[in-house]
Amino acid sequence: MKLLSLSNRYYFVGLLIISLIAGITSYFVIKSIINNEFNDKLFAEKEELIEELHQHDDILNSYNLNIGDNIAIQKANSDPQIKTFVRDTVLYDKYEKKELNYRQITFSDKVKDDFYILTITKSLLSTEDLIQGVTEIIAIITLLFFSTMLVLSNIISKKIWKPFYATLEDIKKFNVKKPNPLTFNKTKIIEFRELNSTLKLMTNQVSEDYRNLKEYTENTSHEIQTPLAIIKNKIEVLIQDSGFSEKQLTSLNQVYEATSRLSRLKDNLSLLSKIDNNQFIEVTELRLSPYLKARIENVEELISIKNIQTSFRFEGDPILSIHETMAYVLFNNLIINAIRHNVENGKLELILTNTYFRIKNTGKPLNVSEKELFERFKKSGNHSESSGLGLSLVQRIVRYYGFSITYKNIDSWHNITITF
Amino acid sequence: MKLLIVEDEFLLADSIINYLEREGYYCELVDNLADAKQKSWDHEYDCLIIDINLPDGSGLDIITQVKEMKSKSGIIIVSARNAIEDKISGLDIGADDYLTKPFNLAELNARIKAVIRRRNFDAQNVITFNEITVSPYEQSVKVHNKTIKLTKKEYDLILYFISNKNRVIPKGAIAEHLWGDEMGMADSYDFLYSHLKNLRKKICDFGGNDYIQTVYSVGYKFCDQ
Repeated sequence: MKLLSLSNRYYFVGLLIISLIAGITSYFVIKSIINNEFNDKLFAEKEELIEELHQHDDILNSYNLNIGDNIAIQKANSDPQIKTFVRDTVLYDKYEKKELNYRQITFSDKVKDDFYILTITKSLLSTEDLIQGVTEIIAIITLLFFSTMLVLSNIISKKIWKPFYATLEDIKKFNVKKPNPLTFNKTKIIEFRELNSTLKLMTNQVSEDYRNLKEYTENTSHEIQTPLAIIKNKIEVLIQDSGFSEKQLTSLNQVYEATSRLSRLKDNLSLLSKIDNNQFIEVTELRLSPYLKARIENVEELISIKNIQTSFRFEGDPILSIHETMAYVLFNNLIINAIRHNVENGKLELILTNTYFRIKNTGKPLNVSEKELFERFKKSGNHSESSGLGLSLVQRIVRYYGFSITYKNIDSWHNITITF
Repeated sequence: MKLLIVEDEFLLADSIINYLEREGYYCELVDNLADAKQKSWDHEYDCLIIDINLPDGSGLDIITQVKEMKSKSGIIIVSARNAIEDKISGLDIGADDYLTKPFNLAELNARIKAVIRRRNFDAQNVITFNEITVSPYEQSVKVHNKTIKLTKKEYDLILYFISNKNRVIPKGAIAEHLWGDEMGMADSYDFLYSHLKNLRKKICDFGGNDYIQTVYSVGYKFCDQ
């Protein structure tokens, strides 16, 4: 989720809750104020009516006073002793032609020895209109406030976070292999300035470490190969003498072969570390189908000596962007593996489509679990000459280029599939 | 035949010289760039064997100098770096071959012979071992003057044996010569045995002797004693 949409989400939820609470509260507060005002008015009208009644004798005959909306005067025989009360009621309005809300105040009074029950009925219509109007205004203000906040926060965030995104773009372009020193834009924000200077420090450190590691790998390779060459060549000189017993010759040969193994192991390990260090960045466009055929031709005699039947099923002609050395290590390892672990008179099948490459071979069942197959130094069987790094190299290359590799054993066929 | 060996690792140079002198070469050793430049300037060698990493600079400088002199010397680079860039730049400026440490002396010997052969190019040039004649130009082999049909690997094998005649060659060295690093050793031995069997049979079919002697557990020796 993007930073902006996350902050927008929090703003939105927060503002929504606050506006709802504020809106509802102000509605009730305004309503009660208006109500009280209305009631005060009713009581005031009551006082006015009583005064009018006491001052003007003939008022009892007139129903249309300029006080309330509707006044009912009812003569009572004895003192009704009604305590003044206010109630809401619904009456039919013949002008509006519908039922409307009214509020009545009822009280009793004694005018010239007569007792009267008096009711002033006042329409609530204007009050309701007022409440509605005020509510609408509140809602509109809230909405305006709301949208302004969101728009403002978007604009401000974009402006504030601009150096951050610029930095992000810069780091994305950073490549340890070709470390151009990062040049960040100047920013007034202290946090971003700190971020940039920390990043600068870190990337410099990373480039430095990378360079050291690369040098170390190359140097160890160099330093180890020379003593190995000395051992190997001394033995070659030694065995030219005819004075050795068979036992001594066997030992000498074992030393010689161990040296060869060590040198191959070193080669593979430095290849692995080179892949890990992204030292194979350049790519070439490789047409797979002729390439695979050439690779098979290259090992034709190994195939013929084991009398393995090879078949191709090429249904596509994909082009891979891959480093040449990596392609060689990848496909050669798979093919050699399929020959090495094959049986006499076995079969080897290469299947190529535009989306995957599959190599199938007959062979003895694995005694390594399928999961461990691609791990370093896992060997099936006791092939002391294999370094156990072949498939690990394959997997590393596959991962490096974002392909995927799967192994399946179906009816004594070993299937390795690389999906591009 | 005169060789100049430029190698700063004395123990290694010692083995190389020991092996090559028995081959009848006259070897001179220098262990730094300055001396190597001086020597190659003063004398004409048939082949220079140059280690790239020298204490006082890169062996590639010697190649540049030798090329500027328009010398006919063959040049073989020996390097501990199996870096493809080194290989390419070395061959680009005029080296004839490139060997990566650790190498086999038999391999170095065969390469030196091949380089010298190519330098003194002559289509009539043949290598003879008793009744067996190898013509590197035609890539053909004759036994008692009759051409025998060999596969590419069988041809490589007999040329390698004749180049290293009378020497004990470890089977690992032969396998590496034929297949490079592509195969694991035990695998390639099976293939080696089968090639050897075929080669012996073909030579014997044409009345040739079997000169390939097995040296117990170590390898083979091509000789007529």
